[in-house]
Amino acid sequence: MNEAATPWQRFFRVLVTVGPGGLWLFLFVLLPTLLVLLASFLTRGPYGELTGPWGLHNYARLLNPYYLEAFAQSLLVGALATLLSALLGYPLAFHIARHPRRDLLLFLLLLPFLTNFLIRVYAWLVLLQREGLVNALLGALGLGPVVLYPSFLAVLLATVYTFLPFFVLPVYASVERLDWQLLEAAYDLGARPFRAFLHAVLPQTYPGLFAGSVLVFIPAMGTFVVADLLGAGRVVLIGNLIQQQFGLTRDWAFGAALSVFLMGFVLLALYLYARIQGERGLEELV
Amino acid sequence: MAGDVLVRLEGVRKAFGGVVALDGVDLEVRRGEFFSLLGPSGCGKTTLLRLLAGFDTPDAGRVAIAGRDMAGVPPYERPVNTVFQNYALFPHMTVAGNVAFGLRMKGLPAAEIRRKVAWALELVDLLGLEGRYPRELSGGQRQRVALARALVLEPQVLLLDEPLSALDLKLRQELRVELMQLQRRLGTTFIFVTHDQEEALVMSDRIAVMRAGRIEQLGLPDEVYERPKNRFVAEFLGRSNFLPARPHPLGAETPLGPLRLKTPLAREALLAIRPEKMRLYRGQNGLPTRENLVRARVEEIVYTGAENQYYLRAGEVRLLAYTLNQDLQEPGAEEFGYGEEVLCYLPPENLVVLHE
Repeated sequence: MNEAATPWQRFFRVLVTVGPGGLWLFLFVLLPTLLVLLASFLTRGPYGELTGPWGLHNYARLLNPYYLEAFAQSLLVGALATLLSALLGYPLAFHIARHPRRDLLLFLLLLPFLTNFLIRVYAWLVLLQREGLVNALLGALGLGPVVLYPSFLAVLLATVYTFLPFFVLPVYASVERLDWQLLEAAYDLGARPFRAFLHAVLPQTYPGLFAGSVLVFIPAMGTFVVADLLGAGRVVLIGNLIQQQFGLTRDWAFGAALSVFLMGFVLLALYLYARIQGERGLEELV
Repeated sequence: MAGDVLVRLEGVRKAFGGVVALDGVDLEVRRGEFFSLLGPSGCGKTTLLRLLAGFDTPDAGRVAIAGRDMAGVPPYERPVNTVFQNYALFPHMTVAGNVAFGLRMKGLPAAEIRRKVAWALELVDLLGLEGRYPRELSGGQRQRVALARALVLEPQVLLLDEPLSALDLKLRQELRVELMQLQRRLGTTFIFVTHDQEEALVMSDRIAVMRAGRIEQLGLPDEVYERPKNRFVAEFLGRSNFLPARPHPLGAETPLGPLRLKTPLAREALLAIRPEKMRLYRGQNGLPTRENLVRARVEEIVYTGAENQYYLRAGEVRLLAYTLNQDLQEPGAEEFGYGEEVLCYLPPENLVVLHE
């Protein structure tokens, strides 16, 4: 920075560089979030409008076992989807990073995003239904038909399918930067392949693993379209609850409280991670 | 102790996608030796080290360490350890963690690991830095950690891949001496890869000069320097004056006129003489002989502190001569000026015959 700049020059410099993005974030992220926070303390009026009295009554309703169960189920979907994404995505990221045509493979990985998300979920519905392709195959093998839709398994399957690329990409980024000489160093010091991987390769990919987990866990927990279509009412996640409050039930105040609770949970989890990993962890996530 | 062959390579070849890195190398390294592989980049010296470490396998030929054929033996089962050029320290482990790594892989009890780690850190003068992470260390300190991490396993052979090249000159010179002392103290066989001729000359018991996947010359440092086998070796180690020569009754016929050699040439050859072996005289006084004298003019003088470098021209031939900046009373140590005419003496015993 030029030290000779006057305060006005500095002001304009900040305005030009940070201004547009800052304004955008203020208008479309910070302000709505504050409005949601505000709404969560209000009450639903007779016609679905927000009125007084103020209070924490919406948060008290969260303790209802029905809502707690939805939250638990969201956690389960989020955790399982993250775990499955890790098991599938981690080796995949290595394969792509070391492949001579990795540009092509990355393109293929992102190819599904060219089709609308909703249509892709409907495609799973078609595949998994009683007369669908999967059951036809199972039937031909004498194993079916099996009720795949609607089910928890279907929701999980489609969730993993949807968010897997978000796991692969950050892991790919850390694999690409990997110092392979550390693997040789581990071998050289007497480590057999598995332990060499464990000590020399895996720690180098922690940032990617964490970023991938966050990018899968958070949206998987909050999604409602997949649970709606493939769970058909049998799988109710916290995202479905929120959507119901803002749509069907028109209880915006309670919907806001659910949203704030979910946000708070995610922020707490990130905060705890930052405490354990140090500031570097969150920086590398971004 | 010293003497028996510890590392033996026979007809070792290695190519990477059609590019030949090693073109039939035979080599024996003796137990307890400080052995250097010297050559320009791409000469195959690092490939040779990687074959010994087990990171690559030879396309043909045999590698044996301590009498055992290394074919099919993975790196983690070889009695060698490596100090990598960029150290390859584990960034998420402390100094102690890095040094303990190999011992942990061996499954030694914790108390023994602690004892050995302390021993190794003392060896490289790093006691007190156990808890630091590599990123908190200077280049020289990282270098020492890498050394301790390899030496703590008490390998039969320590492989060093240009371990000093990333350090600045002063530190490099200090570490050279420390490495030599360490090697003598432990008696471990060191195989040291470098492209720095001075490093190789200073440190090694023996040197193999490599070019294009072959060993050009192997010998004691002074042999390789004083009696280079060919022009490449003479040029790679230090500087030389080269003179094409034909047989002559006196010794050799050269562009500088007939020169006396210790043994006359039988066929055409190239003569080489080191700049510091040339002697310069101002007048006829104190000349040792009437032979092998060349009249030359001083074209350029480079003052390097310890010596003066004179760029001379004798007819069509350019010559380079160094004189030490010692007491000017000594004969042959006079200072000369630009454009001055000097007499240049080429001692017969210092004229090396190269056949290439």
